[in-house]
Amino acid sequence: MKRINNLSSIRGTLIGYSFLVVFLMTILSFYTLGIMNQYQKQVSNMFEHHIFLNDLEKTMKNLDSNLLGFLTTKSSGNLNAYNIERENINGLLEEYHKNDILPDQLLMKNVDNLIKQYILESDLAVTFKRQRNVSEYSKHYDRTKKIQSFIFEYTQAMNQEQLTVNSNAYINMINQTHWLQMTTVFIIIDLIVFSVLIVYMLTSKMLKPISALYKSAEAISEGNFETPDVEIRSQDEFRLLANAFNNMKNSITRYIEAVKFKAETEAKLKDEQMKNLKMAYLLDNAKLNALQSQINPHFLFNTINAGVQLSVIEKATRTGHFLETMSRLFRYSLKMQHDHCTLADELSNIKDYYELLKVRFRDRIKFNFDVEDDALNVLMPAMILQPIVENSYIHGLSSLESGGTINIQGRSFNDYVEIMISDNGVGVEEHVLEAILNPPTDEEGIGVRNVKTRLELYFHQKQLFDMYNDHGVTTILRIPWTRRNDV
Amino acid sequence: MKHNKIWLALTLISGSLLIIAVITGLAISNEIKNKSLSVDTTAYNDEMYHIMFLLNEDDQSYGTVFMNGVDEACEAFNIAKEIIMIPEDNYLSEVLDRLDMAIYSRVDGIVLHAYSDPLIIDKIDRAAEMGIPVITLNDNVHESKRLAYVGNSRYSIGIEVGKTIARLSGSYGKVAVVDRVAEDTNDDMMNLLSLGIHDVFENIDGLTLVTTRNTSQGVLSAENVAVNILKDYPDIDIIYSTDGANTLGIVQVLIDQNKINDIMVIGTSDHDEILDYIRYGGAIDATMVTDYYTVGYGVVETFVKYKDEGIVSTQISPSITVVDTHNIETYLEHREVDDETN
Repeated sequence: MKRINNLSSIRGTLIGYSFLVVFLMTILSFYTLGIMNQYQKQVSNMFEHHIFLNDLEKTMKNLDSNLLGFLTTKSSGNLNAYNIERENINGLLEEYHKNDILPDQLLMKNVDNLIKQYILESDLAVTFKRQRNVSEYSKHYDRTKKIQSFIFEYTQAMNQEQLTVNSNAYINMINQTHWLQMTTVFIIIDLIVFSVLIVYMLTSKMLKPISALYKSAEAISEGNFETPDVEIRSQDEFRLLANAFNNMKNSITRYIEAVKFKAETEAKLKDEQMKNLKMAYLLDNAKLNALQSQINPHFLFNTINAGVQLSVIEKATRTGHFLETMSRLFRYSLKMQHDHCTLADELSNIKDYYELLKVRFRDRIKFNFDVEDDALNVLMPAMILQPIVENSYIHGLSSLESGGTINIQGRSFNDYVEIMISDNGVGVEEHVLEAILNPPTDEEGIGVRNVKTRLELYFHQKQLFDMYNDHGVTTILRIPWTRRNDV
Repeated sequence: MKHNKIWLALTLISGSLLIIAVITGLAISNEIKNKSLSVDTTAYNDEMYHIMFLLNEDDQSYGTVFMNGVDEACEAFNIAKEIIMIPEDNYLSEVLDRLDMAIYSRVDGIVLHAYSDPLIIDKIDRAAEMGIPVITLNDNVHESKRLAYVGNSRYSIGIEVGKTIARLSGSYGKVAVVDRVAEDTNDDMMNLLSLGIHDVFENIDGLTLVTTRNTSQGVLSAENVAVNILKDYPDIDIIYSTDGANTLGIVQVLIDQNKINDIMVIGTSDHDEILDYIRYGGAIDATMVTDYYTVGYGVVETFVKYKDEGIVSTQISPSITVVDTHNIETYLEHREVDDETN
């Protein structure tokens, strides 16, 4: 199994999506927290100034009360309380300086200085009280009262200003809160839509290869093995699945092709066997015919030989020559029935046949031979020309009073030898010609048709025999060049 | 393929909107904070000088023009200003408390609408001794330890008014002065104005200052004074008012008594209504306009110069412009240009 990119795998994709959702939810949470934090800061800003100023006023009042108590009663308790409040007010001022409360506030700077002046005057009042200097401590106490009034005036002014600030902030906050609510609702809705779209994209990505595999499998189940390979570009498990599927399909296709080739080969073989059987049948048939015809030829051959000897005894030379020619003709037909021969042998046989015809018809039937020497050696089945010549003589010329001519021409070409036998007789009827050229299957034929079939079976080729009417009958044979060993 | 692209585009749009919405939400929440903090009228930092202005609420001199001068100077010299407007009623006791407040608050400087009163002088001296320079307005208070006085002396104003009356009246007529002064103003200060006018009239036989009447505050007081003057001096020819509101009150009386064409009015300030009277009706013949922008800018500039150089001129005198029917158009054009510039 090939390695796949972990990030692109289905598991990686699902983990990635889960992280994305968690990340988005985290962003939403941080966003909400951020908003809440801003609100908290805002509310703190709004009220911490008030709280600070109120603490300041309260401490100042306590300080003044304890100062007055000490100046009135000279009580150590009041003095301690005064000192505590004095520390408290100093603590508040430190808080102001340290925490940057009410920053950049001119009035607070005045309050800071006024409180310092107040403490200075109040300390002097306490000191003069201890010295029992009434006029001085009264004078300084009066100053503290005046300074306190200034401080309160400033704190009230700052409270008032802060109230104005807070009012504006509150109005702004209400308006902005409205927008924030709308924005947050939009974010939630958009987040849902975004998540749904991501899920859709994810499932589409996963379903696309499955769909492609399904379609390809459907096509194959319908016998279409030519369907193209399923292509998956993603680097995930689906690609491995598609590759395995394609391999399986291609393997089955190759197997089917092998089976088909084998079947075709076997079919061809059977066809060849059928042809061989047919050839054997024709040969057997020819043998039968030959055997049947051998009775008379042997009897006739012996009789003719007896006639030849008788004509020699009686010194009848022409009769002896006639019988000798007849004897050769029979001997050739007997000898060559099971063998092949050359064109020269065939022509020799035809000439013997012509000699016999001349005795019978004298000069009414003429033969013209025009055969190239190169063509004489071509190998061919025996007894091919004789049935054709006999056909021309019987059907074309015998009925003519004036007689006729049979021309036999032989031309040698590169691949074959063309033999043309033509006569100037009456020709053959068309249906006879058609029966010769396109014989019905399994029908016993006439001699010429037998010649055509033998040639085709002998050379395993078609188009070797042609016959047509052209001022008589013309027959063309094409004998392929073969070596003796090939035959 | 096209189908997939549409879904991908929708996803990208949705994601982009999500990011934009989150940024928008954070920006809105941040805006709440920024807006709430931005409402701060008295910004201050430790590097700034702090000047406390103690001014007379009922004196029209401290109007918009004066404040523009103050604001621009404070911005130019990085000064924190604290302006306290004190009503004219009980001005003296109130301003003394405010001076104490300024001293206890340890301000860096005080600009004071001052009178030559011993108690005020005492406070000015105390502030000066504590290192707080005091710049006075309205009154020179030269006997105090004030740093400087920004404004014209009442004597010089009297000289200028005398010259204007002589020029506009053809050097003939009986003159009444309606002087708006605070209750606490001492006699010497009041007399300086009359002295200036007298010094001009001394060499002109036809002009006589027959009476000087004081008003305390407001238009009603001015109307009463004007009625009394007309009753006591039916042959009065010219009335000069030292205050803008009083000028309008006097004009109202003259309109009521149908004496607009009989009596020449010389006013003070460049109040729009006063300028309209000069421009269209002729009910007012001229008005004395002090350059209060220069006064406002000058007090701050004088303080900064003192802090930087340690020494300044004890008196800075702003210019006085006499606006009458001859130059009112030019004056209005200049003022319009100045307003646009500011």
